[in-house]
Amino acid sequence: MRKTACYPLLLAAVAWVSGLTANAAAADRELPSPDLPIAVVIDQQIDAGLSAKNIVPAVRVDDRGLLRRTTLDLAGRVPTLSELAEYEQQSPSERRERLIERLMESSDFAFHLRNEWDALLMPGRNSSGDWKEYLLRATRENRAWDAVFSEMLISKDDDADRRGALQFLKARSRDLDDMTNDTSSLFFGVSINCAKCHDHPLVDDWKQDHYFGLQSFFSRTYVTRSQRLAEKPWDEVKFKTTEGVEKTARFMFLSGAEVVEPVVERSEAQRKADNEEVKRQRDQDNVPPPPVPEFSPRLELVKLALAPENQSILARNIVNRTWAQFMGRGLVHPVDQLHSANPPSHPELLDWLERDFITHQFDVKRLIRGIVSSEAYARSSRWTQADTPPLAETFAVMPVRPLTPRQLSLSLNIATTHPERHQHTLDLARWSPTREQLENQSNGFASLIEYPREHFQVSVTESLLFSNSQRVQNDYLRDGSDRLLHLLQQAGSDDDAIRQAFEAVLTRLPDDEELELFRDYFAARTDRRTAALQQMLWAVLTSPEFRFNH
Amino acid sequence: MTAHYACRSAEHGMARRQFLGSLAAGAAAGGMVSGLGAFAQPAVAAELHRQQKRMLVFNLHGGLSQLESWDPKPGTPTGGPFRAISTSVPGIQICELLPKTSKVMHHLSIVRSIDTNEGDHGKGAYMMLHGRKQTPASDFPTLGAVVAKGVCPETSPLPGHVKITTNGSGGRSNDASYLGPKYASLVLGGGKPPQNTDRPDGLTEERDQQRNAFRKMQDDQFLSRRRSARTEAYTFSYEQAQQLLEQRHIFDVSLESEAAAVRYGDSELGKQCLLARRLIENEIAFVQVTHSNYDTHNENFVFHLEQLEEFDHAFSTTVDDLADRGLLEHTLIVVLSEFGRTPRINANYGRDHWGTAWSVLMGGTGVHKGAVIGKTNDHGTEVVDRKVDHADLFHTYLAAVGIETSGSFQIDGREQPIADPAYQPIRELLT
Repeated sequence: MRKTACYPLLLAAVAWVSGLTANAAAADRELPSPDLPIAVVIDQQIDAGLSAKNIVPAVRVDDRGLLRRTTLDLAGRVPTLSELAEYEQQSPSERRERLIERLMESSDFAFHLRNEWDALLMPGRNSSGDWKEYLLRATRENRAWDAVFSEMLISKDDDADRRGALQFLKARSRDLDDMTNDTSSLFFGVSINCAKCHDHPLVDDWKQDHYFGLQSFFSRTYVTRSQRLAEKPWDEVKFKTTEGVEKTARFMFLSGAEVVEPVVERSEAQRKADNEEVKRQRDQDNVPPPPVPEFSPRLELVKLALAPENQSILARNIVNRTWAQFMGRGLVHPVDQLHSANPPSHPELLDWLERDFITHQFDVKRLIRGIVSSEAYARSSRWTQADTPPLAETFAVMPVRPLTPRQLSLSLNIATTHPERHQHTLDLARWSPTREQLENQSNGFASLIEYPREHFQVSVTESLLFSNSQRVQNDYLRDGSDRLLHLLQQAGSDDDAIRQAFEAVLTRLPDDEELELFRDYFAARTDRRTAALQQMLWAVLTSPEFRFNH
Repeated sequence: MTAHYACRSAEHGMARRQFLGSLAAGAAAGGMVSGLGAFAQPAVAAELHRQQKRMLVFNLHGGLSQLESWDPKPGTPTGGPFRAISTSVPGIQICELLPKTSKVMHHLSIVRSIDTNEGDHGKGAYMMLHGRKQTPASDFPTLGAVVAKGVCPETSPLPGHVKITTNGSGGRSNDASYLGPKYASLVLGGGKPPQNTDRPDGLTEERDQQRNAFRKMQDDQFLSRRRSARTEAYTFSYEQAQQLLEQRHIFDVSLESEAAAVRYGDSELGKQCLLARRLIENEIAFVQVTHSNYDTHNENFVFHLEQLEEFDHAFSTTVDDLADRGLLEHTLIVVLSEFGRTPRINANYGRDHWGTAWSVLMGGTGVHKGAVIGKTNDHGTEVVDRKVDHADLFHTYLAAVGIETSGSFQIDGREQPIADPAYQPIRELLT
């Protein structure tokens, strides 16, 4: 999770109740029928909010615009020309649904969701190969989110299929606060670091009990020299209240639920032996695997978080974050402030989605399908009405979202490669190995681009890279038989070249003005047509229309 | 509450839109004219050249000994072998290792009563450069990002936050936290100009301008109904890139005269200081140079003798130069470290880490000249008057360049206090 300054504490103070009240509130309110499709409920609820405010939302985006948006969101890249052709051959009433179905079954989807989860769970960290492989397996199999959560916390190093998940903790094992706060923020939507040290005369002890309670589930966790995740047989978290009273933390979940560790008398000699074993595990190679403790705090945390009375916290967080991924903003915003003082923009919708998600076994893919099938997702990003655009939380107009480094890198590659190279995009089996290659090829350029987190703005470093680097020149604008530029050079007319460039890069045709502008320019530059084509290509590649998902 | 920027005049309210608007107009009208043409317009140029506050930080990495610099205690068990010398300010003495600096003391002031109580390099550096204590689960923008955000007009075509390093290739860094990459430092590795500020092979200026004119048309087409802070920043980043390309010479220290290079000296620090002066002169809001390494657990005195000789020359030349050019009126100079060094001399003739009673040097805009704030006891083991902490200094620096430090930045609906609200500027030092 992105680290931020402490949020006003009064808010953090009430954070804990949210998990408890969410269920109760859901039960009290009359929610739409559980049998309705997700997209229908989304549109009912969002539209109701808009009517209540007398807002007429933006019109639906045109079909090509929706193709581009949906492909970027489900496949992590712009559409290829073969995809565009196929889409337009479909009957208008069916093309959207078929697009969603095809993309969600493609290898693109698994890669893209893996990349999104990687960015979510390992922000700013150079994540390891086994972690990425684990996530890819999880997204390919559509593994349930509660299983992903539990595998991150308690899978075994001997389980080759799942041990990659342990990187979530291994990467944070040097810092107990990181393990505590990141788990809380990323899985429960509650950034609780403030509760560690801030004062509030009324609720201070209570907050600290929760912070250190959650911390106590991780305080025994360590990484052995052989890079296995282990737990010490015993440890306890002590903290000082603001009155200076020293307290021992209890194993307490955010909901307030606790577990009590069975009391086991341990002799002085036993303690010493235990400590020595931990030291040996930490310092030495070639020792037997660390002993498994009888009481595993991490296992207890997973049990508590997945218990029927507590699981809404885990569900609500990923529902809200997934919504934000596709809609540009959470139903609760910011996404790490899920608490009762920061209510959702659409409470019934969030409650319904949360219930639906739990009923359907924490199925993220089902949720995504529902969101991208809604009309709310299909609105234009253009606000053409006279007044200023409505607030983002009304979802009246699609926000303009910066591409992630990976989306940008893949899209540059697709858009500037000769379309023949990608003519098999529709044949899922043939496309899969190509997609994997593209994924690997995109690493280098993606690493030069900043990930768009909360306070993101494109900086001059990026525009300098696009403007002046030899790399952009060589990778994307170069002349060569496998390049889009080659196709443009071979085009029968200047108009054809302009149309092809716009379709390949922006998934749309040029308007009359654009056509005329470039037509005139090319007519005056017949002596250096290639350079003129490169200028046009650069201009569309660096336009915000390419840089953002809109 | 919102931030009170140094430059929050009525004129600035109009600046951004008019500025971008005039760029677009220039491009559209001329067709071939690049956005840079707009900078030649007198109104815009005047806007940009309003006297902007600036800050130059000398980070003496590793921990400068206050006893061998700003707070000497000669003839005491902790004082070490060096004498104290008089300076251009009657009554202020500094260590004899800084003879040239002693002659420019009338531009400068010393804070001698710093107690940060932190002896860890990483944590000490974090405190001193962020004005907050480092906590595992939160992150704050660095001093340079805050200054750039606070004093630069939104329309500033050049980056406001530059760090000069001895080595490395430079590039972007990630030190602006919630202020965003726009305010992150541009790192000039080895004092070289920023990366990608030369046109790629085969691209002529005319062609580059033409393709940028096309890009701007694409911008306008797309943004006509979709304007947001992010899309504006995107468009602006390309204007900034063009401007950087045009202004590359600002970062090119080799364009300084031979005589200037000789005056600053042949040392790495000398070159960095000359570049820093060049950047400050060209209105870069925040520049930081680093001098390594003062972590003298062994042979503290020999090391300080060598290090400070280099520092004394380069630093005093910089102060002189800035004063001569009238730039000190607009520029705050700060000499800081992550902490000081122990009064106790260890068995290896070294001094160890010490955050309990140490000094920082300041001078230039917003602060009194020739002042001494606070006092340590005779052996330098304790602050006896006017204790100052890291965040008090942070408030003071910002206040000196005209930023109202009790304000907050509005970041996505959250208020982020500009400086730690539990601390205060050193008011008696401020003009």
